Amino acid sequence: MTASLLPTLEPLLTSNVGAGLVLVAYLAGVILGPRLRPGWEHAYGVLGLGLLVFGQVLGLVVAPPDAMMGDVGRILYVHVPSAWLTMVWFTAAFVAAAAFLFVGRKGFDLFVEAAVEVGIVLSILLQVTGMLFAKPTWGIYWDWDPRLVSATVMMLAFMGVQTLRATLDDPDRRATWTSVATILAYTSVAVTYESVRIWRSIHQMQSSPATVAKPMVAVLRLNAWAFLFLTTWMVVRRYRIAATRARAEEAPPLPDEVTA
Amino acid sequence: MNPANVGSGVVTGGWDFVTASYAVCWILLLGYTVSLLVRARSSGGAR
Repeated sequence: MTASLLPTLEPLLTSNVGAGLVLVAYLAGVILGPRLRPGWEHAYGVLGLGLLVFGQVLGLVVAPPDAMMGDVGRILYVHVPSAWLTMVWFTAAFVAAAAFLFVGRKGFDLFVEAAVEVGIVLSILLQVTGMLFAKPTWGIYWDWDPRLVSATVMMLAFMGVQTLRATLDDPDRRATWTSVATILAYTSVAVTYESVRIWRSIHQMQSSPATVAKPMVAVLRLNAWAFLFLTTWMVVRRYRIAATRARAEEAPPLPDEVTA
Repeated sequence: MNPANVGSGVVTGGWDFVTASYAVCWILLLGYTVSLLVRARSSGGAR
């Protein structure tokens, strides 16, 4: 049944119009969801999980093997979405960090905390699947290659942001320093993305739908949508945890604490 | 494990690496999801 669904879904998943429609629906949900009902993000979580199961079954069973990499090419359906979404959440954190410095709204700071943490989880997945991809295709788990090194520096830079954040007690200083550190760390995202163009690398250049077979594009995009919806749930949940902690931090002291 | 089909230029086999990649994906994503649920519960207010 899953095999017969792929040709049906292919036009929606491979065309720019289809991708645009899904993106509009995603953004409409993100904008309208919080206004319509509390806990709106659970719908994204369930949808993301469902798409991930479906997308990974397609990736493992239905998608054709790669012409050069054979079945090992199926790692693509985990590795590439994790790379895309790592960059999406680090970029979102960068925008929110800049917005916090300009506007000073606490919500932007809490969003930075959430987006950076989810980005780190995805970058760990990116690193591990990258090594598992490299061994059978390049013959090595790791090399001091510009793309591999810059991606590792990116992960460590954002881990540094979270570590810095954890060491600061004063909420205002913490928010400002986190924003500045996030903006500085974001330079590593740009370097990582462009590393395969700037330097000679064993890592391939960025693919585009024009250079990849349609059934593979369809499965790749399906998994990317799954990652997007699922990690949106994660970021919103993490934001709510950060907001709860921030409220507790700002709450007035209890009477016995005042008299002590 | 020697998935590289030396000489032909086409990689064969390697299913252990594929399985490991998908397993790591689920372990990380589900593990992080559980950590979020536990932290939300312990913080007491995140709905």
